Amino acid sequence: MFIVTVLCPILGGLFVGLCRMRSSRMRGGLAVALMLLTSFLVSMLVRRGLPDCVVLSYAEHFTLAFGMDHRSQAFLILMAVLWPLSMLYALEYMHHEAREATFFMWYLIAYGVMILFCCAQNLFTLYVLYECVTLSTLPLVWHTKDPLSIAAARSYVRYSIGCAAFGFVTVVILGTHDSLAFVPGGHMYASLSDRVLQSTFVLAFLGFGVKAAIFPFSRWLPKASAAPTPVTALLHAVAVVNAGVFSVQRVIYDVFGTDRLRGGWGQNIALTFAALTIVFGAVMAVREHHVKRRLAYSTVSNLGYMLLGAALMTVHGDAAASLHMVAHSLTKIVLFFCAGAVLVQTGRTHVADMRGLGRRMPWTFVTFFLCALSLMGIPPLAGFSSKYALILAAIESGGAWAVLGPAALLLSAILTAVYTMTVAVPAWFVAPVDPVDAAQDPSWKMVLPMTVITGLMVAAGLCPDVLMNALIAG
Amino acid sequence: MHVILWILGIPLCGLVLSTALSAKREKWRDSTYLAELLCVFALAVCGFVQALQGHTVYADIPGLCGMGLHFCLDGFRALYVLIASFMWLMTGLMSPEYFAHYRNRTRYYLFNQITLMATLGLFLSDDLYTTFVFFEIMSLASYPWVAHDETESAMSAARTYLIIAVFGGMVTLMGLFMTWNRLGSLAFTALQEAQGRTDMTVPAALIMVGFAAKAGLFPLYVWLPQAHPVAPAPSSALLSGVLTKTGVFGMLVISLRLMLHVKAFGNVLLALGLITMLLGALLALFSSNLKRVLACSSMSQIGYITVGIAMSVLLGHEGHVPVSGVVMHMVNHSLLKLTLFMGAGVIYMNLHKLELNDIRGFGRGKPLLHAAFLLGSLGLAGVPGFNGYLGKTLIHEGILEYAHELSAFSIYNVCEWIFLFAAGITTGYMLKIYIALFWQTHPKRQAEFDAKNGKYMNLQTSIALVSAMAWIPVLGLFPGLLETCARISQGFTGIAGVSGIAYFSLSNLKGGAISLLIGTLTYLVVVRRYLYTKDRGYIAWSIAIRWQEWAVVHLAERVIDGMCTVFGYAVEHDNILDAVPAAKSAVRLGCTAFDEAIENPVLMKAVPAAAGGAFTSLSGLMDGIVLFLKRGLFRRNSEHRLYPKHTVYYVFAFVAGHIMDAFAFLLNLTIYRHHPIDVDFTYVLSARLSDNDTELGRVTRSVSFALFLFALGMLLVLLYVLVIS
Repeated sequence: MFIVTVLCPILGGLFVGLCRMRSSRMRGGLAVALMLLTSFLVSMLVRRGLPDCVVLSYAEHFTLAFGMDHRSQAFLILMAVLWPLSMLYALEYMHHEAREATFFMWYLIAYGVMILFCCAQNLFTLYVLYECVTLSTLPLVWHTKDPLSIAAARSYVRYSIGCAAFGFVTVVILGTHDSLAFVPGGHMYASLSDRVLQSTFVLAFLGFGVKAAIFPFSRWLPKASAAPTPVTALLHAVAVVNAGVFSVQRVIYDVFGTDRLRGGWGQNIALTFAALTIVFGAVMAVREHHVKRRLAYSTVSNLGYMLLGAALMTVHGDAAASLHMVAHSLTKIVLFFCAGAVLVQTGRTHVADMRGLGRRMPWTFVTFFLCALSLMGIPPLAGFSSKYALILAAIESGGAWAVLGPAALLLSAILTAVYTMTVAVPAWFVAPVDPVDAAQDPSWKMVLPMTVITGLMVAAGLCPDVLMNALIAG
Repeated sequence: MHVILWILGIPLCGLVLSTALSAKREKWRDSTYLAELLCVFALAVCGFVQALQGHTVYADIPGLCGMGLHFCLDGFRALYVLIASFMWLMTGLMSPEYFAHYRNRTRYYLFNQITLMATLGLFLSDDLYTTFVFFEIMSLASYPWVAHDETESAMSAARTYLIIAVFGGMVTLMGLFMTWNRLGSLAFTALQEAQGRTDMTVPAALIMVGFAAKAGLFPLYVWLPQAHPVAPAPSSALLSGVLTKTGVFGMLVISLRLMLHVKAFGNVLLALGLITMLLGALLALFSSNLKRVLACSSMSQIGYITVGIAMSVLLGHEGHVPVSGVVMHMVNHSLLKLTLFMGAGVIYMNLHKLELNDIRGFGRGKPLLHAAFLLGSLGLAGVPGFNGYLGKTLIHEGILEYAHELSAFSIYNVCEWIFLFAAGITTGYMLKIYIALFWQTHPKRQAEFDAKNGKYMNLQTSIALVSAMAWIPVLGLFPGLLETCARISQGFTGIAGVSGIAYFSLSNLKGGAISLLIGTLTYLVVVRRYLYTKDRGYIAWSIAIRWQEWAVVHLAERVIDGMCTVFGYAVEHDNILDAVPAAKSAVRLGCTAFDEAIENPVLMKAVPAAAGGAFTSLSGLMDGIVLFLKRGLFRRNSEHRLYPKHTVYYVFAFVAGHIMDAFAFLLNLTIYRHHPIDVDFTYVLSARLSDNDTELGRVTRSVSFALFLFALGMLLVLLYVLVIS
């Protein structure tokens, strides 16, 4: 079952990409069908569960092993919902770009690799697949092959392989002492001295945080917004960056365990970096005038929220981080979709050019507005519930971070209001830049994903408890 | 339970329905809107009747929005739901005529209904979480009201409104978190239980910020005089009559439940209330735009209400007199502002002007409009026999009571004088409006104005205006009605008692009389002497002098002017102003500093610039390392190519291409006989390799950088293995 689920998108992708098709419609239809099939298989897999299985064994603790727990289930479901919808969006979007076949191929392959990644059962496997994710998404980043995207791809590789090597260091150090398998509560590593344990943890946090765009290693993410929008939306707002947060959660809660780490200097460093990431992302987003890059910086900031929640090392912090992961994914993917829709329909990319487009592209900008409000954290929407949970978790943890954490969050919330409302409000309340311009909403293939995901976002905001319980209990 | 859900559900269904219908036909949308408002009003009346009988209804929606929403319908809440739905209904009656020539009507109605739902939810809330959820929805949904005209001034006002709303919301949220952390609950009952806890002052103050901003309390009132004049009149009426009261609602909850008896809190609130009261009145006196006068007057009246709340906090459980005053004045102010803003709306929809200079004389020969403004002015000025008098008297009585409690002469006696003085100025500016509109004549367009007599508004608008203004004398002449309102509110405010005030006793009438006297003097001396000039024989309002934004500036200028006159410097007004430019600009600079800080927040310019620079350089660290390596270790020799042509890659392309060609040849012979593959794979592969050569090279070089860093990591491992283990 597991093998079929993984091979379906990978082999299917190769087929779609390499075989000659009679028409691009047929290729697109096939790609969507494969996506749906994969998502169906994933949901079956999640329901049935996956017994731990070792595929390859290099040394005692260094094995390629797969399994499933509540974390992987949550992440898998999130992807299973969003990937086919993005594929539908991409179908329309990629008409305007070259080399559709290659794109669909790598889009499908990346799905397969991400499924594998979610099911990793120990830190070594996680690291290997972490790099596989990098390599399989690389062709998507430099898809357009213009200088900007090439630069983005180079930056992506440098950070994801180079900086994530810190993570590998941790894997080696820990693996020589004790098991690397994921167990709830962690291993504690009693044979390691406190100093080594703390420094190893900091290395692991930074190394695996690279994909979560943690502060000094965040430059790649805004650059990567040069990629086609379906990539930016799905991979750089949901899959890849959440993989970073997912890994960090794994490292903290399932490998190290929180009991020895909590209150140590390692935790303080981790929290400091997370808080810096939050403020950094928000500040840079306010300064940025290119819509997609602004959204990318906002992603950096929001990933900081999740890292902060994860680094609190409490049950509630963990759950709040997961909740924000879901809420932010649902919100940000729509925002990117909208930016992409505007790009396709009008060719406009900058904040100032969005003025007055609301009346012309109502669906796009209604969803954009709602998601912008959610990103700000306005009550009945998803972003509010998750931020609320995060701040409560921070306050509950006590100490200096009970003040600093919420302060960082509120500061960034105000900045969020600035950088989202300066796009969303003029779209509705200011006369258009070019009055004769006849922009209109894109076709249903793009509108449907935006609407459905916005609906999910609102639902998640209204009943976050259901989601929260699912994330805690599994 | 059912009543509450219906009250909230009807606007929700209505907004979906009317927005959907608006695409078909605008008339259907308007009818749906009115029908919905009628239903809500009918339900509110039912709720109010239930509350009068002493029933309290609760409703919980567990799990919604995370912590569940809790509602309650008791005396005060039923009263305010009733008032809100009444005001919405009246403005709704007026809207079709008022908006007849407007654009974006569907947007207006949509957000109007969202605001209605949020406002009702807020007034029904039974814990601070619910209050906050609806408060935020309301704050943002009312943004389109202010921005409706989309002119530059409207957008700027709307921006200020949004900034203050978001800022206030965030601060309140922080206070809620702290409260939650300390009490473990946000229910109103829990707040009551926490009364007297010393560690609750900071959270309470933080929560107050957002609500005070919405109410328009000094120093967060900045949005108020900007937003009201630019919003459409029905919205202004609601902004002033209901939305500011949502802020007061929050302030009441925090002050009376959590902070009762806390002297410091009460005194700060009193000071802020007095400043707001006086500043609002002065701003109104010096304004020449009709709606701006009314807006500043709202601010001033909110000051009265705040003073009342402060006095109840100071008096504690004996504070039932000022609390009753607060409730009465809230009700009165809502109804008065409804009447006055609808009147202003009638003028605006005829003339599209609001400056007193342009509209003076418009009211001549229009009895209904005349009645509306006359009653509104009398009520607002606190003339005995009209509703405004009752609330003001009780609040005044509250100040006196506390001053008596302290027996000796104290600062509170000064407060009383300020109170009377502000009430006097209220009379002054209302007189100014009233005389300008109904007794003076327009120098050029008077005939045109008179021609509109009898056909300046339609029946629906007249009904709305009459039903709004009828309450002013009725409530004033039968104090029992308002006293009932105050009595049923005691469950909410938590302060019980029977006031037993003789409203029309000599001592109370004396206070009113003093105010009226001050008012008349203000009008005759200030308005007639300074704000109204005879220019070249024509009687003209002093709009020719461009008033600055701040009344304080005018006041200071007047003082400087006065001094100059005393010293006999000059006779001509403008010359005096020119004679003291330094003093003038200094005052203006100081006074507008705060305004500018709000308008151009440091947060939006300087902080991002500085922080952004620092962050960019720091996050560029990694790129810096790469650059360093590129210039040093990995420096490319210009002659050197990483992937020269005809290497193993091209050999591979050649071999693989030939194999594939052979395979294709075989296929063409067998399976694809009818549709042969005619691709030269050798050529295709080499061409593609050649295309990708440069890019592949780049990426490979990047990977090499990455691997170098990787090697650094490995070095760390080696060090670890050698040194530590």
